[in-house]
Amino acid sequence: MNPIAALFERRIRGFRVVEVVTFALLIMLVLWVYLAKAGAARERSEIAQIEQRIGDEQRKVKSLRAEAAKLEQPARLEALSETYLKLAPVSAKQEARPDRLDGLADRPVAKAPDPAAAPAEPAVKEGVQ
Amino acid sequence: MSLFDIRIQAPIPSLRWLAERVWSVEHAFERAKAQARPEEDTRVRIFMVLCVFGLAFGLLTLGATRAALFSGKQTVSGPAAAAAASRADLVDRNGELIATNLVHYGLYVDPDEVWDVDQTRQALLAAAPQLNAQRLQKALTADHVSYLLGGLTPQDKDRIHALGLPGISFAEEDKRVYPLGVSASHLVGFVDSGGQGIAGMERALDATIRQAGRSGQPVALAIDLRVQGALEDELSSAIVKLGAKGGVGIVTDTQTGEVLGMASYPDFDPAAPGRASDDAKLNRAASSVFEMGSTFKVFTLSAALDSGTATLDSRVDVSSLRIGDRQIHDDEKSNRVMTLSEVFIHSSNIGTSKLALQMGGDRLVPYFDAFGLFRPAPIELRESARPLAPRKWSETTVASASFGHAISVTPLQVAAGVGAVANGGVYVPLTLKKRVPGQPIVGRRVIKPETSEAMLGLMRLNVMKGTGTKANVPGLRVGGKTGSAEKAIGGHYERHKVVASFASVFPTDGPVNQKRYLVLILVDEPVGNAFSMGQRTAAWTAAPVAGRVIDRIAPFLGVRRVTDLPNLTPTPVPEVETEGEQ
Repeated sequence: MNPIAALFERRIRGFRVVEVVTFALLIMLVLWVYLAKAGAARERSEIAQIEQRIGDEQRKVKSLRAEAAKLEQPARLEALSETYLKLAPVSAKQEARPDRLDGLADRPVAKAPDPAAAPAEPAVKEGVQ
Repeated sequence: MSLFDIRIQAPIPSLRWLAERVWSVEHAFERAKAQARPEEDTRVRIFMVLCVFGLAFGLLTLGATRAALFSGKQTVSGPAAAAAASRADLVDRNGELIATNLVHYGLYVDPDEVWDVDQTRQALLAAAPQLNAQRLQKALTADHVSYLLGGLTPQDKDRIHALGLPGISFAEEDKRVYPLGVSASHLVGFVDSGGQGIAGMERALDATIRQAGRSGQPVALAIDLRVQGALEDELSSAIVKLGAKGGVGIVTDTQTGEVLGMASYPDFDPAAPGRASDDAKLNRAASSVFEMGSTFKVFTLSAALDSGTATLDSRVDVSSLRIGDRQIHDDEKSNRVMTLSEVFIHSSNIGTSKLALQMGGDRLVPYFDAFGLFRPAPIELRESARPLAPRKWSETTVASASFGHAISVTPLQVAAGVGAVANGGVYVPLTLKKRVPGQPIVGRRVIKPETSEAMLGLMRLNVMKGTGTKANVPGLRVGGKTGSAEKAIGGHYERHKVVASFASVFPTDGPVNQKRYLVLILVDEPVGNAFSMGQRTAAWTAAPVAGRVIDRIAPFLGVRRVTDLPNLTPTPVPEVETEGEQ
């Protein structure tokens, strides 16, 4: 008998081998498809969650950026610095180029004010801008 | 119907082919049966059914595998999609936020689910005082779901949600937010409740902002918020102190045409434009036209120098000028001959008129046209208004226009025109969009570079010795021209209502095509008081504001002082003080 035909004719407990093998392959295929599908669904769910989190975080970032922009608007900062720190825009007298620092160092130092008096305003102004 | 019938009747070729195949199989079965091999007949039939089912199952398997592994790819939107918004963020040239879209919430009520109407009403009114009580009552007794309130912040929403009221629900809304409040409000503009830009850059760049919003990219404007802040602070402060009706401040880069700052007063909150008056929402920089007065002498003298009608050495008799019945006057009466420089720094109307008449309208008007004084300022803003220019250029009109009367223009037009005078002579359209570095700038030559250089010298001289001295800033080489024009009301000029302006540029020294900035300050109807030594003129009102603005913004723009402190420098650096003498 043709070996291939024999393979088709061979039986195990009344079932043809080819049918058993086909059924087993079928089950494996179904299982594989199920697992692949389940895995893909899980991955997609994770991606969706991560995207949701990214979206939430980005919304928070936008909100915080807007809040920061509101708090840092020049007019507000200026009002606060004038009110609480007694600062003012830098005047020409407070600017010097690095190569002029020697001349600045040679300048007679003004007498230090009485600590009990008002705070040393120029020292504070150095910090502006 | 038999297979034979199908074979005969099948109208479609493919069906006919199938019928023939089936028919031939049937014939094969019949032949097998006739040859006494019925088992083969059965086996072949089973095999064929198996093949058909196997093929179908195989296709289903392939489809299922494809669906499992590759489907739904398009639903994975990615972080860019999460950042997408209906409108893009607006940022300044350094990336600082100006406008953005934030998620807000709309409040809904479903009366069918409300247990206790009174309790719900009281609780909602306490948690959201902005709710209209009548509207709430109507919604609570309606027979459908009603929209109660929009624009709730997440905090507002959480506060209401925490009440645990049945029948209350929320829906996300995209809302435009302007975190800087009134700052740059006219420039930025605003949107309607549907998110459609209806003023300022929100309107001008509506399509661009929407497109950028889809990709989550911000739209960069040309303004620098630090410059804008200093400009607004100094301008608003001066307007309050001078009791003025309004004011305008513009800062531009004369080389690129970029508007680095633009302020218009009174201002408004773009988040609530409905609560502002039309006057407050009017962008005076772009939409209001003014007779600018002597600021126009910059254009007239540029034209006179460029056309060869006059040179810096020219002399003009400014003792008197009468054109027909009209006598031209100077603020400072002077019965003498002035040099061109003196005409400029003393702001002589007579001298400027004589130069203009010497040129003639035929030559002066094309220059005015080239400076963009007869067309709306070329800028993205739809609000950019048309000027009011004379139709006929008689001698009187030419004389009047030469010192800024008989023609009304917007401050933006003046800024663009003076920018051309200051940048080497090229008229560059203004823009509120940040230019891409290296992007070619298309402009048109209006005057020669030598004329531009001469005008810079004259403007510098005016700040050192003329009407603009209050705008001088140590080391920043400021140049400029004042303009004080009485307002024409009811057909005659009102002496006590003045538009004071100062068009300044800095630094005026260096190569003619170097980086140079323009600051235009306009004060509408200042009141002479102690702050201005009782004066209304630009020399006492607009020029000091320009000086203070320049002093504050120069570090942001990278303009360094040339001279150091006199008491710190044994030998002062040779500076532009001599340049103005030309």
